[in-house]
Amino acid sequence: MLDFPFVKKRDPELSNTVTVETKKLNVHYGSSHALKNIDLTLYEKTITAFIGPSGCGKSTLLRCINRMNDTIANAKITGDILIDGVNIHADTIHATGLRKHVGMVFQKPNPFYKSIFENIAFALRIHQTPKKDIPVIVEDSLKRVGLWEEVKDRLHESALQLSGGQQQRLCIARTIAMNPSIILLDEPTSALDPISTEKIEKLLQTLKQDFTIVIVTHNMHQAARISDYTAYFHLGNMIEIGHTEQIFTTPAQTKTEDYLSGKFG
Amino acid sequence: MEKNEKTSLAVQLQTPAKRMFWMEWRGRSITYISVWIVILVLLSLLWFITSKGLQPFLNGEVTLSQFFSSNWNPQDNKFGSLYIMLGSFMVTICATIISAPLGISAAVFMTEIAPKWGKKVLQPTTEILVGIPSVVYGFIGLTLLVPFIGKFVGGVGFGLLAGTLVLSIMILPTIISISVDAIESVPQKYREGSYALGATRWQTIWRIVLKTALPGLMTAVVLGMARAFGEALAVQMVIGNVPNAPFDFFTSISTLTSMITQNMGNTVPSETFNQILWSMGLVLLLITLVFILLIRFITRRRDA
Repeated sequence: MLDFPFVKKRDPELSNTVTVETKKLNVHYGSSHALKNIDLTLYEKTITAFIGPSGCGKSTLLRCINRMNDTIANAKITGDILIDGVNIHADTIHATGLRKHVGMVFQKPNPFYKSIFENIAFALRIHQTPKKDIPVIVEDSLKRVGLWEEVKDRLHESALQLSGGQQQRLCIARTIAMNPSIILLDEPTSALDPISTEKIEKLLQTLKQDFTIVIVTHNMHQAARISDYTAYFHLGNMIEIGHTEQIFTTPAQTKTEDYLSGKFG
Repeated sequence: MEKNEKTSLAVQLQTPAKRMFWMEWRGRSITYISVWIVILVLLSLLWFITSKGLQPFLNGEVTLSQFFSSNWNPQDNKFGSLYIMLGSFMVTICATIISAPLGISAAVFMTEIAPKWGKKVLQPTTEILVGIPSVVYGFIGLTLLVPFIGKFVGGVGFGLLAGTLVLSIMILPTIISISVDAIESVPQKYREGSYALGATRWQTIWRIVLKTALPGLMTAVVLGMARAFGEALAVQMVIGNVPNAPFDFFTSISTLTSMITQNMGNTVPSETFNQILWSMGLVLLLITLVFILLIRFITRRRDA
C-alpha cells in the first residue's frame, strides 16, 4: 500500500462518455519505437494524467492526439486514434481543424511577440471569428483563467512582460478562446514557481467542468493531487491506467508501484 | 598550535605565478593596442573627410544653398548637386523596392518551406553572389542589360532602370542572408504555439514568424539600402553619368558615388571641382551614418 496523503478521492459522478480512444497505436521515430500498442480511453470532462520517467513516450502520445507529430518528418504512426468516434487520420480531417477542437499548452509558456489582446485574438482570427465577437471572447477567456483583473488595464501591452505564471495562463486562455473540447497540457507547470503552479492546478479543476483535460507531468504528486485518471508509461508501453486513487494506493503492476514508491525514475 | 608552519598548498597559494601575470599583461596589451589603432584610424578618416568636405564652403567658393541646388555646370563653377544626390536616393529606393520582397520571400523559402534544400543549395548560391566583384556585375549590366533596355524598353539603355536592376541584384544576397538569420532566430516555440492553435503554415509564417522577425528583417533591408547607396563601380558603368533630374527611368543620370569615381582622376586637388567631390563624399558618409543609426533604432526591442 502506497502512501500519498493528498491523492484525489475517486469522484463517483465521473462521465462514462468516451471522448478519445486509441487502438493499437504505435509510433516510430526513425528506428526508435516510441510508443508500443497503446490502447487508451479518455472520458469526457475528466482530467487524465500521464506519468512516467523521461523518454517513456508520454509526451509523444499527447502530441498524437492533436497531430502535432505531423510536423516531424520521420515520425511514423500506425493504429487508430478516434475522437468522438471519428478517426483523426481520415482523409476528411485536416490537422488545422482538428487542433481547433484539441487545444495544446506547452511546457515553456510561449505567448507570441504580440500584445496580450492580440495573443488571444490571433487564435480567433485564424478561425474566422466575426470581428465584433473578438473583444467579448478575449475578455471572457481572460476571466476564465483568472487573468482579467491582473491585465485589464494593459491589454495592448506586450505579453512578454507578464510573469511566467501569467504567461502560461494567457496560453491557456488563448487555447480555450477557440472553445475546444479537449485540452492537452505538456508539463505546463514544470517551468513555474509553486504559487503559479497552484493557481494553474486550481484553474484546471474549474476548466474540467467544460473540457476534457489531459496533462503530462513529471511530478507524480501533481498527478495525485489533480487528476481523475492516471496512466503510467514506461519505455513506450502503457503499463497501467486507472482511477488516480487506485493507482496511487494499490497499483496493479509492480512496475507502477516501484516507480511511485521511488525505487527508480 | 604552530602558527607559521606552511603546508605545500599554502606555499603554492602564496607564490605569485609570474608567468601568468606576464601572459595576462601581454594579452591585454595586444587587444588594447589593436582597439586604439582602429579608433585612431576611424577618427582620422572622419576628420579628414569632414575637413576636406567642408573646405569649399569655408573658403566661400561655393555656398551651401548653391551646393544643394540643381544648377550643375563645373566649367562655369556651378556645383549644384541636388539631382546627383536625388539620383543616389532614387536608385537606392528603386533597387530596394525590388529586392526587399524578393529577398525576404527567398529567405522564408530557405528557412521555413524547404530548410534542407535551402541550406544545401540556396545558401551557397547566395554566398557566391556576395563573392562576385562589383565590377563583374557592372560589366554584365553594361554588356547585357544596357543594350537590351536600349533596344526593347526605351531610351539609350543607360540610366535609372539599368542602375536599379544591377543594384537590386547586388543587394539581394545581403538582404537574403540577414533575413535568414532573423527568421532562424525566431524561437521554435512560437511556431509550435501557432500550429497548436490550428494555424496553417502560411498563417504561422505571415502572422507569427515574420512579425517576430520584423526588426531583423528591417535591419536586412536597411543594410541592403546602405550597400546600394554606397556602391560605386557597377552603378557608374550603367547609369549614364549625366546629372539629369532622376525622375525618368530611361535618361542617363548620376549618383554621388558615380560622380566621385568618374571625376576624381580628372581633377586636381586645388580645383573647386575636386573639393566638391569631397563634399559629396561627406554627404555619403553622413547618409550612411543615418542608415546605421536607423538600424540601431530598429533593433532596440520595444518591450521587455
